Amino acid sequence: MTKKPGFIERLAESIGIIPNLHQNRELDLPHLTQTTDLTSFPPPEKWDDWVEYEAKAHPKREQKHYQIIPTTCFNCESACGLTAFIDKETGQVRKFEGNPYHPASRGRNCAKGPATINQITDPDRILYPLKRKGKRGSGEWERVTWDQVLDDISGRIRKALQEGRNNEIAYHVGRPGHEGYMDRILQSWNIDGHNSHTNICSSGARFGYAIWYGYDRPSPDHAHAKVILLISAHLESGHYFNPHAQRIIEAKMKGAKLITMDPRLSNTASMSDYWMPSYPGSEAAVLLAMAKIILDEGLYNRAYMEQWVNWNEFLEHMHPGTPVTFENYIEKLRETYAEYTPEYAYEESGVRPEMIRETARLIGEAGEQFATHNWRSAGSGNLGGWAVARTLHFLNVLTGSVGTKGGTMPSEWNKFKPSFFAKPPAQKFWNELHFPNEYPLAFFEMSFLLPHFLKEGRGKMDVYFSRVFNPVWTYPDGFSWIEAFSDESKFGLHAALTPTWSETAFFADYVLPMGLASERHDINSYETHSGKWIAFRQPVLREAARRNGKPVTFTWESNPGEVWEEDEFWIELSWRIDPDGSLGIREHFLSPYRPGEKVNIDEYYQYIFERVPGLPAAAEKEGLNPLDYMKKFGAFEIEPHCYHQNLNEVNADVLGVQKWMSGPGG
Amino acid sequence: MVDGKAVEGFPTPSRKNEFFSKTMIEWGWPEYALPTYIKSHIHPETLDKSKGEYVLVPTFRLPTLIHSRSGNAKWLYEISNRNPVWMHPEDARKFNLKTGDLVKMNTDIGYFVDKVWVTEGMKPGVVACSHHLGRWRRPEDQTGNRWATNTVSIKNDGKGGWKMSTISGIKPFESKDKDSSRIFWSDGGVHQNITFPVHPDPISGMHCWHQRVRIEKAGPEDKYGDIFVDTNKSMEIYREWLKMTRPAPGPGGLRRPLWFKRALRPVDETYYFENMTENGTLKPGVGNK
Repeated sequence: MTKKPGFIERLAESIGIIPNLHQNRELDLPHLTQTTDLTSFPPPEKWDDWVEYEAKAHPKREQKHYQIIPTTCFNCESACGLTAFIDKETGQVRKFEGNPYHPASRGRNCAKGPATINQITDPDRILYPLKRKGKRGSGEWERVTWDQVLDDISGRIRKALQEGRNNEIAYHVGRPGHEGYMDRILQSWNIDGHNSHTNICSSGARFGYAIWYGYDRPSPDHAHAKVILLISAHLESGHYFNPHAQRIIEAKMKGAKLITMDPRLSNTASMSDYWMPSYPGSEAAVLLAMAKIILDEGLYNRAYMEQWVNWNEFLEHMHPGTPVTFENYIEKLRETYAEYTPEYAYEESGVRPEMIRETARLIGEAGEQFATHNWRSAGSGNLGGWAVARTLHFLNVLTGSVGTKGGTMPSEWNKFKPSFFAKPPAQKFWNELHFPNEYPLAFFEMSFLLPHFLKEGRGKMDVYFSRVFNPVWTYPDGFSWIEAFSDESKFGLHAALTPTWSETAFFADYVLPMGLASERHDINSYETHSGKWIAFRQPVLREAARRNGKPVTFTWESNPGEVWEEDEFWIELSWRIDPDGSLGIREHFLSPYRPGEKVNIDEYYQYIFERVPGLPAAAEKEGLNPLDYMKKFGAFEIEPHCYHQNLNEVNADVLGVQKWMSGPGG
Repeated sequence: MVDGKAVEGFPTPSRKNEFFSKTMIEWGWPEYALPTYIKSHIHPETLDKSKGEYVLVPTFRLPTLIHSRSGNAKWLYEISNRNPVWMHPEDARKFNLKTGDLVKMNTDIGYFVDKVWVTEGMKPGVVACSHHLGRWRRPEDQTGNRWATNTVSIKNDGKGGWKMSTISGIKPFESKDKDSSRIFWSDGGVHQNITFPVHPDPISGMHCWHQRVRIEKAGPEDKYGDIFVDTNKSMEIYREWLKMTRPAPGPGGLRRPLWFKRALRPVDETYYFENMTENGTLKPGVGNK
């Protein structure tokens, strides 16, 4: 609202007592209204020249011209949409706001999104590749060139591959952020060299889900649920916190009840209708007591269970002689869980029996509109913590809320899998440092035991990449990591790929600065809600340079210092490992568009985006090709909802092949 | 088959939700064939309250930080810059502690010294500490993340004993960013994870984060941020947990169920021990179909 100046104000302005804020009235910029979702954001047709008043010049009305380019956040795993506001005068990113076209975050962000600007301008950031001088961990470094880095590391990898020491090369990742990019690289090298952080993060819950239905992650449809049950603080900090939180609150505004188990009065607990401060590790006892009530009171979904539970196998194996009928199954189920009374659960957890009864009935009544979530917390805190996700999914099965509107889907129904050009075959190696014999069921690599395995003499790492990964600090037993890193017979060469210094980078041989959120490429697709989407994390200054008619070949040319783009790093490294093509690596890095030439990063993404269902048509409507569409809008919704995928018809021939037996991750 | 049509179902051997898991039986865990409750390693039965043993929940996240990746974000550290131990007033009374007092948290391999925050927002009998804070650098390291890092000294006795102590907290500094001279917080928190032993779950492989801790009021020699670890004990605890496993092979000489997902899945032939050479690849002639 503009307010006309009063007489005294005008007088004071005219004689200079206060600054004149009313000059140039005709230049008023339009106010962004709040009437619909999109009008609170600059409209895309103005993204190449968006004008705003400069906040720091206040009270003067100084106009600033920005070019707005979308990307995605790289702080947590959600990859929410960001828009970079590039100051047209300086050519630098001034701030980050939300991207209204991002189907998961819908223009909203948590504190960590806009703080990306701090990370880019951090005076302590690493701008050039560094090599250690003196002993490993001694803190002395010298600047080197990227050519030296690439030649040294590629030579060492080439030698290991030629000598069959494929299991001595590994890429150990903290936050991946991409979809399948590194699998493609590592398989082109024929190494079983993927190591991840998952076993200090989520593999407990993943196992509990996978043993039920093969999929290893839940995707709650919070927005349409009648009852939401959260194991821990997902409203403020869980996996996909921002996309989930906005949908949990949406459901609450429509009357949904929120039940939270958390020993802490978290923000989530304080927003809940039922807070269950359960004793850590007792969650499964409470969940089974709820299951017992649902069974005893006949609140279960018979139609779903009869069709979609392997109850006949249960009766055949565990109750031979009992006629295989659904009624007998229910009877045996009730016997199996008879001891899980709410009173027993209370003894274990401290959660009052009345609250367990009341919430169990609510859950039973919610039926198919029952959304649940366990990711880390109880699943990752306890011996047998995987049983928490298993008993939680049991409630979804009982209520028939698996894959329904308002229920809980498997993550893979919501996740887009890109198609790649020249896909390398699966590797013919098995690395027992990652998947050792003692843990045949371990859902991911036994990554936190690596220093212990190396100390026991189970092997060595000749070339080890830590990538946005900080085990010295984040993992348990960091001093054992320091001991192992300090020993060159255990880690031959350690390259830390990281945008910033970390406790682990201190113990590397190379510290290689890689781009932050707005300085790198990734494709993102996550199970944030009932739909399916992709987003494009792109280096915004590279895109600005292209739009302004000064395109660059390598992204580092538009990044600060010599901060490299990671995808390009792996292409260049792979190219140099196999200079003559004799190792069979180069063939996977040839452009699908220019025969015989090395692929460039635009072509890599162009190939994927051309194959996203619906994207080419949407792009055409805008007069763009699929890659340019993603560069302009940053995200695309593939499907608004993905319910009941288990009911998709399949060709009977496919059934005969039993393709699922070789694993969905294949 | 549903209503006479072949449908996708779920990627399990039965293509259904497996209430009953034959896989668990085949791989040596018949007691877990059905969804059940497993008592945790920090179940009250395993803790001796008379010795001050508690469960520490060390996992909770703050909405404003992200593991160890946000130390370069000044706005986020301005909001969140310490991680005290949350404790219910009833428990605080037992140890004669009030908010701000130092507490020594003894784990199975060492200890850390932190401040206590007495709050009714914590379940009695349980303590908790957020994990994002306690970032550090040594005086010899390049300056990094100065918004977030304490400067520490690390001493190693050469026999597995490691001592970390804080030389100084977070301080304002001169840089091209004027905000760096305006840093008003001085407390970067305490690094707790480094004092935890590994706890691999014998089935899922998950590190079981909750810790049995022996809580005591800090003594006169204990300083805020002090950390001690004996890595010999780390190895002992690792071996204790390793003993709980039931190793492969499973049925048919497999090292892992074929239907399980696996990160970066290798060719199926590598799942059979008999196909493998010593350096971890397929024997000649295997898998070249």
